[in-house]
Amino acid sequence: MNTPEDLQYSKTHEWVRVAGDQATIGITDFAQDQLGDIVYLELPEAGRKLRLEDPFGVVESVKAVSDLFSPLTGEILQVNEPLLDQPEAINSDPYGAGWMLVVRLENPAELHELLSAAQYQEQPEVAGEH
Amino acid sequence: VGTWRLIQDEARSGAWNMALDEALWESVIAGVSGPTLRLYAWREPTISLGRFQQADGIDEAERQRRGFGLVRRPTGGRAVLHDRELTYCVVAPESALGARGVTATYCRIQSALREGLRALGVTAEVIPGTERGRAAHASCFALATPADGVVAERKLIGSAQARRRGVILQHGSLLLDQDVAAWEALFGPGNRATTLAEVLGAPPPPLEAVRAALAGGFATIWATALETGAYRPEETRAAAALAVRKYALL
Repeated sequence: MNTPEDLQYSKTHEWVRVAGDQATIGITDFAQDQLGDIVYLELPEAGRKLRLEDPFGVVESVKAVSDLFSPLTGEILQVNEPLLDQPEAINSDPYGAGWMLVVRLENPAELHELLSAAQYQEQPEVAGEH
Repeated sequence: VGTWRLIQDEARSGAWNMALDEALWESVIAGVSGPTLRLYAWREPTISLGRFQQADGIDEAERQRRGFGLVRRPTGGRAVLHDRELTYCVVAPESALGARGVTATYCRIQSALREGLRALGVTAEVIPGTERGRAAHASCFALATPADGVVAERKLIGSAQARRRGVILQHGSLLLDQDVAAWEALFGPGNRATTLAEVLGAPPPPLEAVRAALAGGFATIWATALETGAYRPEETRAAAALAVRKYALL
């Protein structure tokens, strides 16, 4: 399972890549692997304001429908529109073509609450301890 | 694992059935109710669609002619014809299932279903399906994924899961018998279902026996007694609102 060192993670399996005051958000390799083949994605529109832990979308795989939760507070600057037509990119490239949103950070202190790659991998379900 | 509530529900309309499942889900998410197993039937034969499924591939005129219901589920997947079947619904935090993640929770619930089927005399091996991918077929019973229970490559139980804040809503349909002609009239060729009647080589057991066996299977695998209970008043109120505002509309 791929967990890039340069990203931060939420307990609900979203990743965050920070550049300046902007953060790109997607779901982790672990999450896409758990869900299996993703067949549908619903995302909000640019301009909407997200608060920490707000549901921001829904992903459907052949096995489950799962709500997505915002790891940060901020305004949505960009939505990965092509991904809506090709949600399978979440499976094949979760940290690249599978990105979902770019958000303008409103409360950078929230970044301290996110997990490092090592901390994310230590979570029991990610580490495979059932 | 803690105590589970068992609701042996009556046959209801599609809108009420989905509204009650979602009301239970919200109630468990809110921490008002504990883990719950609901077993139910449908007032009239009803097609349930996956949460985001287009109704392409289903003959709508035929459905109306037959007077079958139509409802959208809060879970994903493809269409299910609920007729001559029993539906189970598990609503529980992952912690109550003793499993984490999609695959592990499916496995846990499948173990309970298998245990129930054994009690009904099913000796055939019921295994998860192995097909992956994006089904072109409208019906859930034309494809078997690891979420499903399969006997000799034909699907006996079709299941679907939704997850919100660590709480799982999983429901599924166990076929007692099937009307293949109705299925084909609605969905066309491609039926890959099997039924309890076919697996047992006998008329299907009465619905009450299937209810009892499945509840027993969950109790065995959970290693806990299920306490037969009812809906909380706030769950019924929430369901009434959801039935009218959400599930009565497609």
